Amino acid sequence: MSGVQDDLDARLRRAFSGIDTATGFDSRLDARIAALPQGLAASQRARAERQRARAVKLLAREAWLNAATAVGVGAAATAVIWRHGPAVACWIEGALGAAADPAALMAFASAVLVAGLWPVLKGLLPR
Amino acid sequence: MPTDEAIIQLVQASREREAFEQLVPAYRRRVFGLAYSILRDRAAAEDLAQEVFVKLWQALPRYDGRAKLSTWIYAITRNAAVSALRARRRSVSMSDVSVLAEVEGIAATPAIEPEDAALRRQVETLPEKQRQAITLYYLDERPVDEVAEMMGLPANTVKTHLHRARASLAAALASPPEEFA
Repeated sequence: MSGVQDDLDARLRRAFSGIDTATGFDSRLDARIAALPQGLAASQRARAERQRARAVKLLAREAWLNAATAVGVGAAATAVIWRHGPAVACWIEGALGAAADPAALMAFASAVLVAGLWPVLKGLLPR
Repeated sequence: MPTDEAIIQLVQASREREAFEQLVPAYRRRVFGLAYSILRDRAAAEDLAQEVFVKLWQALPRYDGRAKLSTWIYAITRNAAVSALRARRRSVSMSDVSVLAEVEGIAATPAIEPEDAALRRQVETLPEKQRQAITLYYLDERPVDEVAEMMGLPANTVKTHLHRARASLAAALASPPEEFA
């Protein structure tokens, strides 16, 4: 069986030998490349670099916006607590008290569940 | 032979012309072989290889090194070859394509023995992937891993295609029709 396989291997190598590009392939390719508009590669490189720079700029802007939002929310919360400390403490106490009520807790949990599943539920609603 | 790393370094240094000059001799046989394995016609494969290298020249500045250079080149070649094959099928009926490919491809091969031409015709009758795997494997005696990368398939799948193709061809040799005798 191995002899048959070896023979087949040899015949297949022979059958596919000599299949190659014709002579002058490289010079024909050079001619085609030379016929392309000058500066094409340079303009494409410039375009790719512009796209990369734009993406980097967008990401940097988003990062700054996120940081500014976090700082703003933190500063506002600090200012509210600073100015109205006792009222905030009273409100938190009330909220915690409400959380201790099982019915209120269940309503809150259900609201969170619905909000979480909203994208899925929206898809099920008739249009 | 220049390595892929050397070519990539030249691209990253914006020296596309030098990168391209190294890329063409490094990939000419492989691009042509892959095109030939899909189109089954030497002249069409050569035209397609030219097209692919023009595309590579135009796309080289955008190559960002995320994909392996060879994988990128093979994907461009496969897509171009499949598009060319579809275009040809639109203009010629399937049976005509087979006949044309057989006649043009085999007749264009220099000094091929009649029994080897018969074997090539037998290869033409194999299922597409088996034929492609056999062609790529024997055209340049490439390792299975490289044939797999060229075809965009796992190595084990290519091994299976090669095994089945060899079995079919061995069976045909064992019970030869008149042309094998």
